[in-house]
Amino acid sequence: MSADSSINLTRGGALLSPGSVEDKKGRHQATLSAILFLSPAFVLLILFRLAPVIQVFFDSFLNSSSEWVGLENYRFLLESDSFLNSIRVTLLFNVLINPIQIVMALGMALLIVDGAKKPGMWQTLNLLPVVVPLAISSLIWGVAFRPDDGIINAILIAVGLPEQRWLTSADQAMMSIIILASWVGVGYWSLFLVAGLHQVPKDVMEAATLDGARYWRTLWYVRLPLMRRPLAFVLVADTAVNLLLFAPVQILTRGGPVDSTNLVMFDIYRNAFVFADLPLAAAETVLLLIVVMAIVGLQFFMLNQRRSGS
Amino acid sequence: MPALPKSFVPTLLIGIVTAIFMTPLMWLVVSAFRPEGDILGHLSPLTWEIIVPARVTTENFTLLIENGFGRAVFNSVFIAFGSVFLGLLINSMAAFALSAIEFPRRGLVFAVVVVTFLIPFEAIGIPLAGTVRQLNLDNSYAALMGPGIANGFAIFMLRQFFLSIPKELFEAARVDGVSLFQIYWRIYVPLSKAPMVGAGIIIFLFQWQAYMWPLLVTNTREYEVAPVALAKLIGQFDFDLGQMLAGAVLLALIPALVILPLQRYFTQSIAGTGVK
Amino acid sequence: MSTQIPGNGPRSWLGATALALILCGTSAFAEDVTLNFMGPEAPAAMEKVIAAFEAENPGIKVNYENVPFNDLNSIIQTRVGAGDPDPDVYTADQPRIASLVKKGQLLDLSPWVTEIDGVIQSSIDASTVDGKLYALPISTSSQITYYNKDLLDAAGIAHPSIDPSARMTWEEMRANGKEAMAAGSEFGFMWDQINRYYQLQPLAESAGGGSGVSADGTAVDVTNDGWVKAMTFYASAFEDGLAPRGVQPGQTKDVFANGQIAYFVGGPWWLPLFSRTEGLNFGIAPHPYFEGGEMATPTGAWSWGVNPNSDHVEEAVKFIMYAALHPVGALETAKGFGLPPANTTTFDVYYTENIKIDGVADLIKSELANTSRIRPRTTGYVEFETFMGKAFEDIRNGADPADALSTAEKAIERAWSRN
Repeated sequence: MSADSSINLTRGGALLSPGSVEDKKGRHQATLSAILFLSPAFVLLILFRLAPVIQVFFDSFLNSSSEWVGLENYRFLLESDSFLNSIRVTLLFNVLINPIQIVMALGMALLIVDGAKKPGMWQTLNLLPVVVPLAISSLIWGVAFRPDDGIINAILIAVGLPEQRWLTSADQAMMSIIILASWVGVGYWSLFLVAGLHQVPKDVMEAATLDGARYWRTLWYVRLPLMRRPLAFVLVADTAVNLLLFAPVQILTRGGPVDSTNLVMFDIYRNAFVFADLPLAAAETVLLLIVVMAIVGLQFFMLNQRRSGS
Repeated sequence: MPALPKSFVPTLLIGIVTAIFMTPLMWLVVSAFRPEGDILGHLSPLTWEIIVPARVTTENFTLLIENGFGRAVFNSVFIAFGSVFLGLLINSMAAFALSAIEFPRRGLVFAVVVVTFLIPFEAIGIPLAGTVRQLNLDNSYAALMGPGIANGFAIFMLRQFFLSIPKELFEAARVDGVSLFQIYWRIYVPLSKAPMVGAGIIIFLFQWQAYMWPLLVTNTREYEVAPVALAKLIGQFDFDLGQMLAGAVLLALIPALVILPLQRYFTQSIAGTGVK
Repeated sequence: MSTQIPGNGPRSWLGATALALILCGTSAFAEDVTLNFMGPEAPAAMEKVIAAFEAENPGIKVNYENVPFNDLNSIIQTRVGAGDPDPDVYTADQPRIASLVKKGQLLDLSPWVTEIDGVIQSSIDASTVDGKLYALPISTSSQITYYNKDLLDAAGIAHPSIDPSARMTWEEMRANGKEAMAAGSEFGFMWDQINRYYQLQPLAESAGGGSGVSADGTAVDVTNDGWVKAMTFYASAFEDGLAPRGVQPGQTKDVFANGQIAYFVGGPWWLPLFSRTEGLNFGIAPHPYFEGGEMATPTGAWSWGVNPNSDHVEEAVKFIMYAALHPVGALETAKGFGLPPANTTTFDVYYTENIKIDGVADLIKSELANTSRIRPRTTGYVEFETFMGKAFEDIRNGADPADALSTAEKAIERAWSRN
């Protein structure tokens, strides 16, 4: 009966279950109500997301004169070292940034919830980076990261540490983008984790204020499992956002140095908006969407496995 | 018993973390009050001048307002808050259907919601803008708000929280003959203030950060949004950094003023509402 | 025309159509025509020429739309490319004209403009494709060397001459820059648009590497000795710390304005800013060249063209002719810009009125006449410029010049194979 699901795609946490009254009429009524509740959002999602993506799918089989070329655009991409490299860069970026952001956001949320005075104030302040236009955040960090006369290196020198190359080095550019994106995102994601932590029942919360080893054990074995739904949201949403991120790259590195930050979404942006090669951008979008769906699908699958296993 | 209050260590730690996060914003605010030529003049080596301006001016703000930034801010505020208002209603209704009502193929419908937020909006912007222009809907608030109202992230997030609402509440209400809409409106929404604030912020940010879409579907200053107005300060050779930073300060300030009074909801728990 | 006409036989349909035509025709004469004009300049830059044109042409209004510079080309693609009649007139970056023409996004002006006098030849060339004129040149550009007198004096380095025949070599500039740094300057020398093709093309041209694109615009060659020599020099400027890394174009002029660098190779449009910067004591000199190489300087700027789908082609052509060729109109256009006008008669008036520094106007005129090199005319310029920009940034950050150029050449060839 309690097939309760956080992220289960196939079975639902059935509340308006026909359950006791197994009649067709009840089920019919439930379907009708669901349609009514869903339709305003779905009409807009179809108009502004699904219909255009279907159009993009068809465009990916055309050339720039709108003639059918079959898989030509896909062949061009899959034979291109630069595209394959951009997939590799995108995956590496996500393997690094998602755990970093989620752990930091969780740490921030725990500090806010577990005993800091004025929790609302800290939450609000740390939310501020995300409302600054991304172009400006990128500009600020671009100036801060300057290797020869930047603020961050000035701080490093002042405390006796060696200067770094940051965005101008193929080895450090991705980490620099991760720092920037985490500055923007950590406070934002912590908001949802704070809300999740507050869903944990009060008696557990009281245990959480105890010090020492017991704190960590309660956190790991009791509280985190109890907030798996908000955590699942943050994991999936953060991954989706970072798989599609490109603004800082567009403004600061344009994919460089030596293609080390050449994220797929940036390449799509460039093909569509700079080179006006819409069919190629369309094929690239379809391939990216497949990769993103595979990764997020895997996340859902693993989250479900883990729950049914425990 | 320790001499210090229990909250001391966490407060100190979050204070340090917040100070680190606030440093770039402090530089932003201070620089917005500098004469344009001074902004990039004090970066290295590390001196107090990085954060303490030698000369202070409000010229960046006055120039920005004279250039008509007020209209752009009004548009951004109107579009963002209009989208939040409509979006909170329809996304929470969809989330309610996906968490409280059982209907056939619910999993599939939810999967479609997930797919919608995996689609990179910039990548579909050009064909979508073409359709909007063909329908003569360009240069309208409808075109600007349209893509930002229904939001897959907001539906997903609200669904996750709605699933945690004790089902006894739902069943008891059904037995009393309360309609589904009443259950949604009188039980689910009031119990989800923190998630609703979160969903509002998700919807708000999509519009507040919108740049490419407004460029594609508007071509008059009447419908210009703030990030586009700031981008117009970037010329071929130069950009007016002072005005851009001043604009960024205003764009961070407005949501901060709105969120500040809502902060008490961040820390409101289900446990605190008397529901068990 | 949605007016309901009684009867629905073929005859009345004809009548309705004729009536509609007459109504449309008369309304076009009776009502004002509004031209939509799109460009990346702030509205203030266009106010004067628009006011003068409207005063001279009652019945035509010009509505200027300012779009962000970085998005101008994508907006042209999405609007004009989709067949929209709006904008009627737009600003075209000269090296992109070939590509715009190929996509049918610029109106052939040759039937309208039969004679074009008093416009700098390189600007006309840059607006012409296959012998036909597709846009009218509005502005041109060049680059000069700014030097910080105090920093040179501190190092005991002589001030360079403004005489184009006595110009510095890049080698001299590098050696002097090192001396200036030894005497306390933070950096030695740098470029204005530090990682862009416009700025760096003359280095390769001077080193004998050519523009990088064949004369017919179909083949790319940026891996020859001249290009490698030029880029090895470019790389050394950053490797040796003479020029800063990580500074974006648009932020470079602040380094000179703040007195951190001895030499700055940049556009004449910084003269007003540098002149009013307190404590900056500067002079100007010609753009450098490589020892033993040819003298080459950047040029090229904007032309204005007409959207072939415009509903008001005649008025649109009238407007750009006024702005580019009319003695009053061209001057009013020039007043709004930071760039020198392409119209030669306007040029002198503009410089005597706007730039009051001795010798600058003569220097720029001399460069435009003798050393300027326009950017390659190829339909694949956008891809070329983008991948070259990437290569420059990589070289600046320490990549091997020959490798980076070879990577860029392959990327450009691959992108061009899509056409």
